[in-house]
Amino acid sequence: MITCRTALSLVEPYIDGELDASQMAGIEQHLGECQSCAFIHTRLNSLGTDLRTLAPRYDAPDHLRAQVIESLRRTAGRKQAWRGFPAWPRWAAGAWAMAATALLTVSIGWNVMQMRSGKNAGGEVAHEIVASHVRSLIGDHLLDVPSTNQHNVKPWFNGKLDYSPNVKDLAASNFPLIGGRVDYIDHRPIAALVYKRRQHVINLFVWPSSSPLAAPEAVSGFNLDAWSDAGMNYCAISDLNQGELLQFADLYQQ
Amino acid sequence: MSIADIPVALGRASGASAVWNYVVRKLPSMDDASKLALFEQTILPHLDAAYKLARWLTRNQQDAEDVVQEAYLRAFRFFDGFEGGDGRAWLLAVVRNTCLSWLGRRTASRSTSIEFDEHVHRATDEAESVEEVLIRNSKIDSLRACVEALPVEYREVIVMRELQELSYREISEVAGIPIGTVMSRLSRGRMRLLDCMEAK
Repeated sequence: MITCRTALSLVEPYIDGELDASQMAGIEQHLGECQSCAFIHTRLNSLGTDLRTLAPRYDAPDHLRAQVIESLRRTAGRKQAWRGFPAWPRWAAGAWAMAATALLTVSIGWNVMQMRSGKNAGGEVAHEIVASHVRSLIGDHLLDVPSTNQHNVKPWFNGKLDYSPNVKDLAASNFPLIGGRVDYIDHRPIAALVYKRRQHVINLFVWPSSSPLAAPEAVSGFNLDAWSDAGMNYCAISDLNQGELLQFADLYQQ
Repeated sequence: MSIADIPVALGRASGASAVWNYVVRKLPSMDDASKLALFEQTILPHLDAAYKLARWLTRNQQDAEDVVQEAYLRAFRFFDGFEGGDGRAWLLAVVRNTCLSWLGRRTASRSTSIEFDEHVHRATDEAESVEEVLIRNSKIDSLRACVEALPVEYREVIVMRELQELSYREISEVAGIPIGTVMSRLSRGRMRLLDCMEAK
């Protein structure tokens, strides 16, 4: 026989299926004989049933699965590309190892040199980009031309800049364009295109340059990605996670 | 080892656990492509569980999506530390930590608001009368509101036990608390729920 005190300490583990056979037999017998404990058992048990049958299920939305896979693949792929050389196959030992080591040394040296020279040249611009991004979020100067239409945004820059930025519509990939503005970075006015992902703002800076910008991957909690294409430098910045920002950058470059 | 071996190595039967351990030990030396393939097979299938926990902890769909995205990237970064076994519990621990640091950031910047805009009602049985449907729907709403009103340390154990059917041991692993604490928090959480439902 177990007491009410023991029964009450066992009733929840009993409902949760965490008791061994002898404890189960004990509490079942007690519940059969003690009305007040049986009443508590019934209340707790029906609470569990209600939760399981009536509470929302909250399955992951379909687009989330696709987005997670996408950003995982992108970060995994990007990490490899950034290292500058592919992973060597296991069989390529022996003579290959020598060549690989030599190439690796050169490659690392080159990467480091690139990073060093790039940091000095791009560090300040990257800093200005972060500052501009933050300003655009806290002030009321996010958009000069609020428009989700690329054919409105692109001509708007005419006469305000001495170049015409390439404006893409990525709404189909869930990166809707919300507008653009002119910002002043690196001693010149440049185009800032503004996109959204859920509640995150992405600023994409576009300006003509002969040398690519070597931006760090992250600054003060913001993720960055820079690339250059046809004489233009692009730098995307957002508080969005790195995977989705890289996805944005890749879509833009397609 | 090649990626092609992984599906075989991951057979669900317990006899496969030796192979499993072998695969997992190889993790730190795998290239990213193989690592990702293994990750997609072991951790990705638990997306629904990850979202469900994040959804209940953040109480908001958009934030839950953000947290899940971030948690998955984090989980992949720390995948070397995965020691095999239950991928779900391992992932949920990452999701929980991501949620809690997210909630910390959130309360530091602004107070949280509970959103009631998104109504998730289940398909109702045709045999039910209108009154029955009304009672049922109001019960659904109050149940959800009561769970959402729980302090997060009670809410997480209630969600993991009642809605995700984790065992006490699994909850203790995910939340990093002793089993005794799991039991007492569950019990207090249930009492609060019962009181809340009665007050509605």
